[in-house]
Amino acid sequence: MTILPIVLFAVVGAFLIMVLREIAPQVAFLLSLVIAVLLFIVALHQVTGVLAPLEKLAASANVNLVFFSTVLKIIGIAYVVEFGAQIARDAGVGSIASKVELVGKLLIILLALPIVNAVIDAVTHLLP
Amino acid sequence: MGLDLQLLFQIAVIGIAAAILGTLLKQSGRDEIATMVTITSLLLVTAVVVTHISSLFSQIRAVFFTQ
Repeated sequence: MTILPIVLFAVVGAFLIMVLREIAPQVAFLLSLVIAVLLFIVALHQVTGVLAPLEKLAASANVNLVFFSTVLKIIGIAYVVEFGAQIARDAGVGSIASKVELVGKLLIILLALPIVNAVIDAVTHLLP
Repeated sequence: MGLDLQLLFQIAVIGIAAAILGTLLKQSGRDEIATMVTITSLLLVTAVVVTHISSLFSQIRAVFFTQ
């Protein structure tokens, strides 16, 4: 998919939201939600194209598959958290958005702990 | 899936029609029916939105959380 339809979609959506915000604010918010979801799906399709070569690269470099899937999960969490936080911020509840971000950060730290453990193990093996 | 502009126009038309209907009904003194129209339009749009969000989340799960 080229960039032009995406930008056109966003511009038309912004125009419709601008019209709707005066007369039906709730529907305008839902419309912005739909636009965000559709654009996110497009971005996800592009990510799928990036991910397959990356996986091949990781396999050829003998990277542990557990680490690779952990990194993938972290990227996914970041994606979803960003999406949810932006939606909440659009709806005017910044406090909920910051809580969502906090939970996402905690989950990412939780996922990254085994990798940190592996690094520390490697360092202690190097030490005499 | 993809980017369908038709969906955007559908939602916009639903919103505009509900707003116009609501104003007309309110001016003719039927406030409760106007509220019902507003709520129904909101539910209609919400049904569409929830379908798309669920499809987005299932795609995210398929891409990032396959294990």
